[in-house]
Amino acid sequence: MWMNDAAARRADAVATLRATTLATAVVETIMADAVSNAPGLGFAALGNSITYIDAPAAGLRSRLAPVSGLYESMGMTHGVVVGPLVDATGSVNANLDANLFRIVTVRVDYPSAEGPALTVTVPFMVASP
Amino acid sequence: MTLVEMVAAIVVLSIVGAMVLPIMAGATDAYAESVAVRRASERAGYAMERAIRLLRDAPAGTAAGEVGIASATAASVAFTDGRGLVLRGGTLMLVTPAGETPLASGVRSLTLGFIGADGITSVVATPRLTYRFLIGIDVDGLELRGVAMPRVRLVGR
Repeated sequence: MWMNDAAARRADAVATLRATTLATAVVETIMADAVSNAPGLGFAALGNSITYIDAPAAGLRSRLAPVSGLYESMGMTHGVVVGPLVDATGSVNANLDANLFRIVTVRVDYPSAEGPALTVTVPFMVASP
Repeated sequence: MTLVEMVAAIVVLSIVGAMVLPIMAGATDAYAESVAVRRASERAGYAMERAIRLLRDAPAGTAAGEVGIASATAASVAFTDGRGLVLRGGTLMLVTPAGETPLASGVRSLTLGFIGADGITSVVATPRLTYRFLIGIDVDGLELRGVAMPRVRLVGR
């Protein structure tokens, strides 16, 4: 029994490495999109998160498929939530000119060998150019 | 204890042993395999982290809006400042102007992708236009795939 527990803990450590690598990949891709000058990308594209994330072929999910497919085949899923425009403190400012940022949250859920599913959540801030 | 009782005890213990040993052997094999996977994951994780750190730190190109990549293939990259990544005989090497340093052994494959501004098109033929690197590393059968954005893209955009 103890060997099974040890093996489960090791399996979870490997799964956590994979999950954090996937979360990092999503974060890096969103950062690259935010500074991109390509049509349909750039910071402004985050304003329409449904299109930005789920558009066929050009959406984040489709473009990430060569990377995320490996992890999804292991039962992992990832989600992205794009927040409203906020100021440098992370709050919506009454002065709209100060709201130059968005808080984006990347979440990866993955199965655990020991019990309930595990989650990696990475919030980060993206700046308007 | 008579001879008959002793023989009977040996027979019973043999049967019990024959039943338990395969279970013990299976558990031990699974444990050993999990240790091997864990070690491979540690090497793969370290190699991926160092590789992504290098790719994020790609130098600026000579022209505005370009990344300083001297050469790019599906399995290697060399920056204009003399740094880079290359796979040599199963060892992932970090290239610096001072020489090469091993990052991980047992690397079965290194796959690099150079993606342009649209997030779809490969720019491996003109790598200075890279907006994101795709990287895949397979260490003893444990595969990781990641993405790195060259931070120089944040400067002077």
